[in-house]
Amino acid sequence: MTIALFSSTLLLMIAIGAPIAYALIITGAALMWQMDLFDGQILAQNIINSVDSFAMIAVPLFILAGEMMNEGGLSRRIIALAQSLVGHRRGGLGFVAIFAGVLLSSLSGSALADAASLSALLLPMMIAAGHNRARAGGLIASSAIIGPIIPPSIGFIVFGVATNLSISKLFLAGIMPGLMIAVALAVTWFFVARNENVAPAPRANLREKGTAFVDSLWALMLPVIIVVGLRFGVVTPTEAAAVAATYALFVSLFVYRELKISDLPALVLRAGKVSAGVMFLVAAAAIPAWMIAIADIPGQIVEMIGPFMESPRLLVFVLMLIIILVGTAMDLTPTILLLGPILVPVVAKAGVDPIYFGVMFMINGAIGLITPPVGTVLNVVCAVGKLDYDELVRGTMPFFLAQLAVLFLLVIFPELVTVPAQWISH
Amino acid sequence: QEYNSRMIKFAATGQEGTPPVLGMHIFAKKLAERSGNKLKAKVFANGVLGGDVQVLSSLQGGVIEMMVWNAGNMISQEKDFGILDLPFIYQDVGVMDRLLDGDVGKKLTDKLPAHNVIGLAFWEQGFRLLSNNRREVKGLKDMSGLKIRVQQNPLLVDMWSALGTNPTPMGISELYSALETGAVDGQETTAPFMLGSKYYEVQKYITVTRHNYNPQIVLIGKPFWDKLNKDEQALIIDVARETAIEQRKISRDAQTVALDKIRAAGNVVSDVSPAEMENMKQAVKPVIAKYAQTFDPDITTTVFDAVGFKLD
Amino acid sequence: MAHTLKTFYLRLLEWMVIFSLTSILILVTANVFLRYVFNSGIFLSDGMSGLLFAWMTFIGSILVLYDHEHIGVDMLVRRLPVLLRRLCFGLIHIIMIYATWLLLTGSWTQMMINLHVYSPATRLPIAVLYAAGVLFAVASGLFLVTQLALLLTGRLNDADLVVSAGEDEAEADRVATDLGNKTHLTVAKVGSK
Ligand code: NA
Ligand code: NA
Repeated sequence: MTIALFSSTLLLMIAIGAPIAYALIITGAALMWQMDLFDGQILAQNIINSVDSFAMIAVPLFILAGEMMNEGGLSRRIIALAQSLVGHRRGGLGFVAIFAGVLLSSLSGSALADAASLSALLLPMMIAAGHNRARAGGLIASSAIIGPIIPPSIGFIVFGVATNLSISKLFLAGIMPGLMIAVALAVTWFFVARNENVAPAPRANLREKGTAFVDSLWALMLPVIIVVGLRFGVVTPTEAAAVAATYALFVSLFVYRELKISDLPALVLRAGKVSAGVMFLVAAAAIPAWMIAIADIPGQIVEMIGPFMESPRLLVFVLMLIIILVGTAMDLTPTILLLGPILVPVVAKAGVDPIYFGVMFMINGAIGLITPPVGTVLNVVCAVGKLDYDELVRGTMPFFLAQLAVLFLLVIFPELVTVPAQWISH
Repeated sequence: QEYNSRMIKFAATGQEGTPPVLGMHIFAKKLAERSGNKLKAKVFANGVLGGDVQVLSSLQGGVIEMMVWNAGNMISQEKDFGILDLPFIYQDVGVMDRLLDGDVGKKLTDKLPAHNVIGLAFWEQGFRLLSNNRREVKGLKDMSGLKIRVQQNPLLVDMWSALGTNPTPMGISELYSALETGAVDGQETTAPFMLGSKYYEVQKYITVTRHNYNPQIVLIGKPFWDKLNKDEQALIIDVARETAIEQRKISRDAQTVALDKIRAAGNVVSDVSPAEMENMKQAVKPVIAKYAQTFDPDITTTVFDAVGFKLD
Repeated sequence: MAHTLKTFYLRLLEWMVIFSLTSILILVTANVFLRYVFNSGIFLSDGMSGLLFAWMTFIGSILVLYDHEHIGVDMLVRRLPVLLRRLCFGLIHIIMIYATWLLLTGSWTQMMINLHVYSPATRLPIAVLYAAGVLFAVASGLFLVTQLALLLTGRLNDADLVVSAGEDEAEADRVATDLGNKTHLTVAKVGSK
């Protein structure tokens, strides 16, 4: 009954066009009414206490760092480096996109930021070189969603806070699966590009490679700082975000000199507003989450899916299908906020490692960013690359299938996530 | 007796299996039995209904009915409760039971209705111990320079500074990974909590410092309390106090059991010699003196006399 | 006059967001620095940055609401006939006003409860936190009521019937305008620099 009221209210509110955050607040109110607990204080307390969280401060700081890297020329140099290294191969620009996607994802916390810089810089070049527009756009969109899987990741921060899991552990566990997705994309692109017959760019000579490397050295230091800082406990994720933003600011202002002090207020305001939007959503989701905790919905679900609890793999498989389905119509953050707190206790009870599940959830949720009808990354690529939405969806298909293949490989062999995570953190 | 059907949400941030939460389950069981299943308490452990501060104000606002937490934390409402956090002076649980079930407990809880909550009974969490990853700590000088996560409470920060450590206030949610990665060297809590929250997995050395004693206060929100009839109120008080006897026994057994489990998991557990204990006590005396003057002198005198502590 | 006042009000909110985020950045970074260089920290750093973050979120959310940029899904509504769209717009506003009212009463009650309860992390009353909720509820509530009034008095064009930035467009449009004019900075240029 509670589950039915929850989903019907939420869907109805979203369908008539209410902002998702308000739809969540109203859903919370509907649950309060049903459980005879009607009190505005529940709204106020949950909203205010979820923004009063030190861990969440990492969100605006990573967004700020991302803005500074895009504006300050760090992202651009990373892409230039990728190009000088792999640009000369057949279909080279595609490999550049994947390689740059990995590098950028180790700098930024969100797929949208990565999609924006990749499609702005690489898509015109790929099209000019003669690649199929839709395929090129599809590859870029698919490379961008490595962003929330490899740390830093705003998705993992929200997930960690919403489900009470260690953000550092999630971060470190995401590295290897992120790289595996990149490999899967590269293999797929290899076959796609073979049919396209685009002449590769001339090989960059050693001097050019050296220049590109030295030029991007300052930007390349950033992921090293973040991963080493977290791995050796020098900083918490929030502090890592602050250090990243300060570092990016320093490099943009004084090394690359592409950012002026006078640009800063607008940039900070933009980062502040974007993160306020994300946080308001997180805060609003805390209300139904609180009601769900009182109604013990995870407990009800455990009872409902009793038979699956015996087989953790089957359980994860079924949950992955559900998340894919939800992800077609829902953005990453709301998916995490709605399903994370419900599903993590369920899988934990079935004996699934919650960190492993968190990584699987994130890969799946990230794939949702490139599935229609609501695929935020697709929209970014469309808008920046002036592509047609349906055309882009078709272009994404082979890469989407490759990512699904990786996801299900990880369902069958959870060790592919858990063992490297052990190596990295010990 | 007249009992109406009522549902009580009973919240705590401790994990299932820790003594306060075990006490909550006992309370719930007894309450249902004695009220003929009319008064029901549902236990929400692990902070699912929110952090301590949030839950307390939910009690005051009538959104949640009951909670249990460190009595010393009530300093946020009434400063005299801070006396319960004074370090090293409480060592005998028998004395503590007498104080809290008697005059001092009553004086403290009498101040609470003004803050819209009622104190029902005192349970316990036990003695807090120190753990760290750097070195075996057997005395004051071994503590020097250790980076210890402490609760965000000025008295406790001052106390750990006086012991020569480098106290780092930090939210509880970040503690496990901070210990794991080495952002802090150590933490301090009771053995059952080290076990329940798995801190022992990421710590090497445990020292039985018994630096703070943590009585727990069982609270019920006044907005809810005022809706209850006399019979219901009497029953709830009775059950909370009856549970206290059982809960304290469970808690006292749990301290050794938890410590044994932690030792069996491979941690080095060290005791502190009486002479070293005295050194630590001397080191924190200025802190005790500083805060003692902020408490009600009547309470301070009674407590210090009972535990045999002199400020000179 | 009214126009100047409105501009001043918006600039004030914007500068509060900028001030908060900048302070958070400085506080958190300084804390890391102090910890490693001087083996000490700012006792109030975590607490203060938490408080600033809460205020930044609420004020930022007001601005996001004014810009109709809260994420939503407008797939369905966009395809409806104008009359139905007006109906949805009104309905959503009534519901949102109600939610805001609930939030206002709740924040107010909690602010009063916590007027003399001091946070150990900031040494300020916890009420300061809830005050951000009260401010948000008032500022966004007034805006929503105005929007509803404009609709009912027929002073909204069809193009104004926007509640949220469709989930897709919000980011995409911003990103497109931000980056659209930068595509000339091609990779090749950087490489040859
Ligand atoms: Na990333
Ligand atoms: Na999707």
